[in-house]
Amino acid sequence: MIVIFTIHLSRFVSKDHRVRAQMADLNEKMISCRGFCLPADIISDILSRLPVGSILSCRSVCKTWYSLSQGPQFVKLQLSRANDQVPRVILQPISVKAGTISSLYLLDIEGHKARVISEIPLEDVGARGIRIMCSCNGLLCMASGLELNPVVIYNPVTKEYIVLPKSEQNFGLWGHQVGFGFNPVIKKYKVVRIYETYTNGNIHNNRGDIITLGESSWRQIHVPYRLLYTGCHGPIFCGGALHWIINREFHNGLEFILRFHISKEVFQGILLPTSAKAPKYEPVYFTCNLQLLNVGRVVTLVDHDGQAMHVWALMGNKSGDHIFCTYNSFKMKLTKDSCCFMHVNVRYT
Amino acid sequence: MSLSPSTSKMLSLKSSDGKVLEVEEHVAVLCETIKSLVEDGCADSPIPLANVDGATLGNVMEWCKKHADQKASADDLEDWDAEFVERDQGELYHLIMAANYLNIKGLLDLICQKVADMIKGKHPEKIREIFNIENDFTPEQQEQIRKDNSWAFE
Repeated sequence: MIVIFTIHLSRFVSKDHRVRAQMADLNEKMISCRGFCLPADIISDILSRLPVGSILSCRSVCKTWYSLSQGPQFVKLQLSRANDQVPRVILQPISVKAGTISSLYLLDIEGHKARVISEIPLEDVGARGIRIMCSCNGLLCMASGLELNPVVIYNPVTKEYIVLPKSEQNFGLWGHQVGFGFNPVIKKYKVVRIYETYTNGNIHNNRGDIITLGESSWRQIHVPYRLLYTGCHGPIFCGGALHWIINREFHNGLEFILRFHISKEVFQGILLPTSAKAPKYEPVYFTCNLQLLNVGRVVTLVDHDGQAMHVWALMGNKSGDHIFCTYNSFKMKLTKDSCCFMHVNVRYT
Repeated sequence: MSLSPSTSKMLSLKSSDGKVLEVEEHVAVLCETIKSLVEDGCADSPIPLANVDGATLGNVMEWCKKHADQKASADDLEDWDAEFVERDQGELYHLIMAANYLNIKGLLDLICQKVADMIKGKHPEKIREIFNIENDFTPEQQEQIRKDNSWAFE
């Protein structure tokens, strides 16, 4: 099975301090190559307009371009441009062999091919069954569905990653869904995870943890709803908030999406309008027939029942006070376990 | 201060090679650098532009004139711009430098995008050739960068 992620490829961040020092020099002077002698900020501007693949290949043009493509000004420009472009699609085959870590594929729709962009270099962190849980600003949040640790923030383009502080786990884990979002006001990333646990045969739900990147430990939060863990993939970040699918077996109301506002740190259940057809909630193990997607910055729930694709798009004002939903369905005959646009059942051995 | 076309007066701009160009004020103020001179009342006549040669200044003002025209539609401007950037590399280079010096965001964006389009999808060797850039990497460094980002070189 391949899980498909849409992502704005971006973020050429460098941890290399030597590069930063060089940048300071570069901004002071004109670039002294023999031909196009342009100021550093103009070269940054030009490079930031290129697709990711071209930027990577431009890095080998000369040392100046290499350094510029890792400078803070370039990172900022490139990210702002990438967010306005059509998101790219990343595929992660889910390996059938336990303990192996898969590669990521970038789907090249125009070229009709998928290219391996990176082998996930996470052997060091002991990431058994690690998979993409969520993405934000071109960075991937990866974790295992079966273990709390580790949670890794990974840049598939530069292959840089950070491992978040560990949580003590003295209980069994039923399920684990990790969301990853950005607060543009304080310019900080936050990771929010929701999980269900069992100790001595008792199930504990409504548990969650939050951490701001840079903090040394997780803070506990109370989660007002139980999530759907089977047949769906994970949360999405959209419009300043994280969104999960609520498990309606445990909730009688019409709430079907759980929203978490990243800057206010508040949960909110989003109602399905009574006029709209309700999702069937017939999750199938090992496939993602019920899935949240960020389609053109609109939170969209997609359900696939073999006969048709059902699509609910969340509409609302910016503050999130009035959220409503539009419903559409598209007839598509597919076997229930074969595919919809979130996954393709191809097994990689 | 009103900068509308009906009240617009003429400004003289003097290029680095001593050429003087008479331009309507509402056209010239598309250059932020000139606009702030005018607003501060420092627009001596002629305004010396030490970093822009006469030919380039002519091209820049041609662009400003088109973009100051209230009657031009967005589609019209887009077509016009596409034709405007069909120039040789030398001219594009001088236009970028002038747009940067005169602080004309629209023109700078246009030319930067044109240069980016020239680079897009090209092999590094070809890019060096186009822009006359020296390869200052050692073969080992070159190989390492290629290896790290092999998919981008396919």
